[in-house]
Amino acid sequence: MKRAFTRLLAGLVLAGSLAGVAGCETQRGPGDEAVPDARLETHAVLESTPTAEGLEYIRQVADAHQRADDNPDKAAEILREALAITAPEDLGEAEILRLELAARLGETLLPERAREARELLTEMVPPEKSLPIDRASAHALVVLGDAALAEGDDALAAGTFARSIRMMSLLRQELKQ
Amino acid sequence: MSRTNRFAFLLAATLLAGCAGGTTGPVVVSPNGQPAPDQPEGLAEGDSADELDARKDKLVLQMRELEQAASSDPKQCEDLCSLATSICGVSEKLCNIADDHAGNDHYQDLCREAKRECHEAQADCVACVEGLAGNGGEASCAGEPAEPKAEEPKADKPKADAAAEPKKSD
Repeated sequence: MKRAFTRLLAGLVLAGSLAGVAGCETQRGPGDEAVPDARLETHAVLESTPTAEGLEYIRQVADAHQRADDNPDKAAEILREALAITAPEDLGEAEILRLELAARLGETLLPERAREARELLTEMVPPEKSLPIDRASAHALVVLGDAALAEGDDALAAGTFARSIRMMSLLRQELKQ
Repeated sequence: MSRTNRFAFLLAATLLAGCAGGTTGPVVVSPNGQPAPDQPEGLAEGDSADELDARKDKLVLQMRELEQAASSDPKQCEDLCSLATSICGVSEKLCNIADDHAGNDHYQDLCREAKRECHEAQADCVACVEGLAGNGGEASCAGEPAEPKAEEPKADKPKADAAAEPKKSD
């Protein structure tokens, strides 16, 4: 009986520890205040050889942007549909096109639907994900920062704004070369 | 030595001492009667060391201006200035957040880095625009900036409209 109780107690302690680790998604500093995460991993996108599928995807994305311009009231729906289109695997530029779609969709959702914008872009540009060195990445980061600011998440906003500035500085260095 | 020979010797010695003591050329006198300065006056293309140095410095400056102008093109300046505007705008947002966390070093460090990036970006924009102005503008005299033409972007703090449409005048 005593042995069973000891095992049960040990199990409860272990379970509680694991739950605490799993629930810790953000960095915490002294005083339990969230710490801005300004990590930025980047990579260059190589130009790909255009294929029929690639060109068709690019055309669909361009068409979506045009329709969103022409129908502001339905822009969010149009852009979300475009984002759902599966990009060809051999089209390296697709990730840039998707980031631009996500950034624009996020802008469209702000400020009334800031939570949706935040969820969308948090998935697209998390700190641990390498981003292409492109204005689309910077745009997406800025919009995520605005969404976080609208939701009152200072740590996410500050960290994301810092990442966007670093991305834009990389672009600036490329221009000067 | 006879008196005649002694006199001849003394005369010869005097003349030789005058020769060994240095050459005294003709003294140039200016119209006001004062001795003329060493450097020739009023000559635009003199060959004195100072004048050659001045011409060399002027040519070096012109060469640097040409190099800078050759590396600047309008599209590059437009992109640099647009980035500067964006960087500084986001920097302001970040630092506003940091103001609410005055005691937190993480926020303050990010704000400092953001401000530095803004200053560097603005400097790049100005340098690029000045390079363009030097290439296409007409300098009134050395060291003074040319009057900016209406279609050229101004070399001041970049603004969103100037960055987006640099060819429009304010």
